[in-house]
Parts: sequence; structure tokens; C-alpha cells
Amino acid sequence: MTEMLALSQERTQLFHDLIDNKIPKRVPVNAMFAHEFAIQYAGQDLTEAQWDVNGLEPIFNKTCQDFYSDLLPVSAFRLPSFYKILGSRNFVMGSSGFLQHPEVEGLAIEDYDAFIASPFDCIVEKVLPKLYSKLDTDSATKAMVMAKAFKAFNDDMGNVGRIYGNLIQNFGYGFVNLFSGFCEAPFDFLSDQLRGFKNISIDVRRVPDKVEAAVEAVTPWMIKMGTPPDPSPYNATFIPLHMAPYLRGKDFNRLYWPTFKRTVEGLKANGMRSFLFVEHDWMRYLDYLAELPEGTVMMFEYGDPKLVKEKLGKKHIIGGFYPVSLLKTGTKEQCIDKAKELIDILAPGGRYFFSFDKVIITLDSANVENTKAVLDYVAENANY
Amino acid sequence: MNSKYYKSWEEYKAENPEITEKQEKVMAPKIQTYEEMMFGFIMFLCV
Repeated sequence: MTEMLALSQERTQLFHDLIDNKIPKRVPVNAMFAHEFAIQYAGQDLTEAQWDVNGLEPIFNKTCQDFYSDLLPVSAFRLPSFYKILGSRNFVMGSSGFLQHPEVEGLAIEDYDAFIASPFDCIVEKVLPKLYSKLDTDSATKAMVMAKAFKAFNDDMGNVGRIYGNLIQNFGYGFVNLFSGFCEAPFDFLSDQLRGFKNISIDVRRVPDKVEAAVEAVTPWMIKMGTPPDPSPYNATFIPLHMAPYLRGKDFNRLYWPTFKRTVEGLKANGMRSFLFVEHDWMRYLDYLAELPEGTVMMFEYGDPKLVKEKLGKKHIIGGFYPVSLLKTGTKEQCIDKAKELIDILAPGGRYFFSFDKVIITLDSANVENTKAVLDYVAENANY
Repeated sequence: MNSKYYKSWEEYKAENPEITEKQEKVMAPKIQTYEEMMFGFIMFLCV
């Protein structure tokens, strides 16, 4: 057995123990860096490097070499080729090379009924031409544009997947994929790119029946979207949670929670665990999260880790809370002390993995020396 | 899954009755994979 394979098996075991509710040998470390960070860290130009996907391998290699993680720490979720071909309005490259997400309206208010009748048909016929200007044309041109974009998407994602495989092998990362699938809470799906933040905030007050019918209609499609072809209890479907902290309790109860819960339960029934990025502050909803299927993975951005451990720590798998902002502003000692504090609260009894409160997306988000020091500290000291 | 643009293999087969049982074994996984890939792409464009 090669040294890297042995390392990979050891790291896989850390996460399998975490998932199987056994105390692992050490707190597993899941560092996460976006491709934009990796490109900037490698000293490359963001506006150019994202177009040359094969060139991402040495770029990712450098991040993997310098930052400790038990799972592959780099990922490229959005690449510009297919967005450019499609004339994207929802993801547009800024002058820095970062793909920005402007507020958009993919679904007009008068199209709610079409969406409720058939979400996927409405997306194809009405939403895509609003989000992507090159699809707002005659059917023959649209077909050509779509074919080019689909080819670009699959080429880029295929190449990125090949690079991931090489990195996992070369650096001995664990064979656990917390991003094996992707979907959204139905309300977030309706809000993010379809109605937009501003419109949905009005809709919940003016047309709540339409919103409720729309999230009901799209729930089976979210479950389908989040179920990969090869479900595994050791992998997960990633679900970033967006709108709940901005809703009134009664709107959350009616419009957000029921279909989100059914989505997570539906994924579980299909053999998939959910990995929730609990964005912003969900402290008032902890009792709801406690109702989700046992062993749901939750990475918290903000909140009280003691309360989360108390309410959710025996049932679910918890990570996050470590503020990336501290990596930017704190001293090395302060940064390591924060890691110790979180480990003392969250590690006892297991069901905890170390991660920052969010993916590090750009080089100026954090001080790299502090980041390295914290990851190394946890990997070397957080033993059970 | 009510849609004009997404079809299960059973729906596809019903529209293409010329497909024999022998052909189905090799065709079904391939055709359905492309169906799922396009579905995944379209949904990705909305998140």
C-alpha cells in the first residue's frame, strides 16, 4: 500500500466514524477554498485562469500543498465559459474577474401559475430566456446556443472532476464527498434566481398562496436534483440555506419549513444525507433543525455554538462557527485560541468536524499565515 | 414529474415503440444518462 493510499484511508475513517456516530481518532478537518482564492493564491490572473480549466490543476495543487485538510479543500463551482455563451444576466464577471451575482427576476409574477402547473417546463420556456439573454431568441438559434453551453459546461466540469481525482490521489484525501449532490430549499430556489430577494419579500405578503403552491410544486424537482446517480450514506447533498433568517416566524412556518423538511427527508429516503450550509443566523430555528433526519450535516455561519451543541449535537453532525473574519484581523495566537475554544465546546462526544464559518473565496478574505496555523493546530492537536 | 422537456425511459419508450427488448438493454442507460445530464444542467442554471 502506498503512503498516500494509507493516509487517504485514515482520513476516510475519520469521516466514516463521524458519520457512523463513533468517536473518531481526531476531530476531522474540512477546509474549503473557492477556485477564486486558489487562483489568486497561485499568483494567477482571475480574469484569465478561469477560462483555462486544465491550468487549474497546478493552481489547486498549491493550495492543497500549503493548507491542511482531511478532505479535498478546493472546488470550482461556477466557471465563466457557459455563462458567457448563454449571455448570463445572473452571473456576470466583474473587472476583478470574480463572477458577481446581481439581483435578477427569472420568473415574472404573472408566470406563477405556469410554474405551479409545471416547474420544469416553466423554467425552460420562461425563466431561462429571462436569465440568459442569448436564449431570448428564435428556437433554432436558441438550440445552437444551448448545445454550445451544454458542451462547455460538461467539458469544464469533466476536467474539474478529473483534477479533483488526481488531487485526492496525490494528497491522500479522504474518499468522502460532501458535495456529491446539490439542490436548494424550495423557497430558496424560488427566491434566489427566480423571483429575486426584493420580489419574494413582497410576494410573501401579497401573494402567499402562490408562493406556497410554487414551493410545493418544485419540491419533487429539488429532491430529484439533489439525488446523485450513485447515492451513498457517506457522501452528502449540499444545500446552502439562504432566506429563512429574513422571514417572519409565521412565514417561515408556512412557506419555508414544510417543503424544506420534506426535501431533506426525500433525499434521505433516496439514500442521501444532506449537508446544510446554515447561512446567517438560524438560532431562532434550532428546534426546527432538530426535527431533520438524524445525522444531517450542518455547517453554521453564525450563532451560539454552545446552544447548537446542546440542542443539535447529539443528533446531527456540526461544523463551522470559526469566523473567517478573525483569520483576517486576529493575531496568530488569537486565531489558535478561537480554534481551541470551539473544539472545547463542540468536540466532546463526537459528531463535530472543524471548518470555518464559510468557504474562503478570495485571497484578501483571510491572512494566509493565520489560516495555515489554525488548520495545522487542529490537525496536530484535536485528538480524542 | 409532469414535463414536456424531461422524460423517463418509460415515457421515451412509449413514444418510440420500434425499440426492441434487445435494444432497450443497451439504449436505456445511455439515453437516460443524457436526459439526466440535460436536466442537471438546466437546474444548475437556476441556482
